Amino acid sequence: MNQQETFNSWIKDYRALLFKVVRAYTLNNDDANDLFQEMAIQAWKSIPNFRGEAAVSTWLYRIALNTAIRWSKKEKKHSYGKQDIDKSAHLLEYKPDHQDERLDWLYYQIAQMNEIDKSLALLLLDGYSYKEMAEMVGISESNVGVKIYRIKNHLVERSKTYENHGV
Amino acid sequence: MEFDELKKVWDNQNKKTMYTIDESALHNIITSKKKGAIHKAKFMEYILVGTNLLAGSAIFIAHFAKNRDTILDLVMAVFMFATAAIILYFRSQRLSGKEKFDRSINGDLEHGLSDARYVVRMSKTMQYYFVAIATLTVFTKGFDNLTFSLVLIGVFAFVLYASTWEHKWYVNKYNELKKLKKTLDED
Repeated sequence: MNQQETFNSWIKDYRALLFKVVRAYTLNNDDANDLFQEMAIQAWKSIPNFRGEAAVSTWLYRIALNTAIRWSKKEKKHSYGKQDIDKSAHLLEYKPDHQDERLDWLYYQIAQMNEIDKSLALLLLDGYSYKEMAEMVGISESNVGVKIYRIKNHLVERSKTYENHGV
Repeated sequence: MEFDELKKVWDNQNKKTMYTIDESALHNIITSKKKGAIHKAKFMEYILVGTNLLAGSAIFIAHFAKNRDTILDLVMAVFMFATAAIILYFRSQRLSGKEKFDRSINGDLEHGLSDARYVVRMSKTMQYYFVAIATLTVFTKGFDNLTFSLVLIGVFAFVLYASTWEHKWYVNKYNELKKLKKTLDED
């Protein structure tokens, strides 16, 4: 497979993974477009370096999270000033679904976390082990453990408020 | 809700499509990227090496063509050649250091920090370099025409002031990455 074919198959097979990261790191459709575009470019650029040592999903998750973390830093700076007009190419169309309200709430809670905790929360919810998270994020397993413990507690605590007050 | 319940809510979304992708727009973006983006550091290196070699050669040739007595312009030419050589050395160091970063988020941040640090150092070095070149230029031209010399000094001062802003911009980028790295390293 050449680079273009690999890219097409990655986007086709792992789009759901990219969408989750996009949704967790953005608050509106324009931002989602911008971030998805950046992720797609980074994924495309990474293809020559992919040697199959890790699963494609792990590889793409890492790229998506790296891109999202860097993007959100940049975006915070720009949000007070002008937006980057060139980057507003319309790639994504949000498909509103009559989905579980609890999922919206969960995404909202993740969006409130700092950039690194967001990444860990996504990896945790997608069932990655501490070892895999440690490798992907580049911190020790024990450090991952500490952070995950806090994230789990935080989400469970917040969910109690949600259940009691619906917010 | 307990965490297992949250996980079930999360897993349920996999059955649905959150967004649709405009495949042709995506293809266009990737195609345009294929034509090549020049990175900041690479661009800066090429410009600096190119201008130093060109300007140094021009001064060197002019010195002998015009049989000038002063050696200040020769000093300036040698200074420019040396600068080009140093930048090429920095570049080789930067490129050889690429492989030492792993492919984790932390590794990527370390890599970003290393590149940002490099650009910060480069822009600071270029400020010192500019002061040296500006001083040599002013003294090479002499002070026979005081108005011209003052205008020249004014232009150099303005460029130096502008480069300070540029440098601050690189420093801010560097500090942002440092802050991010700190967040990652915190327990």
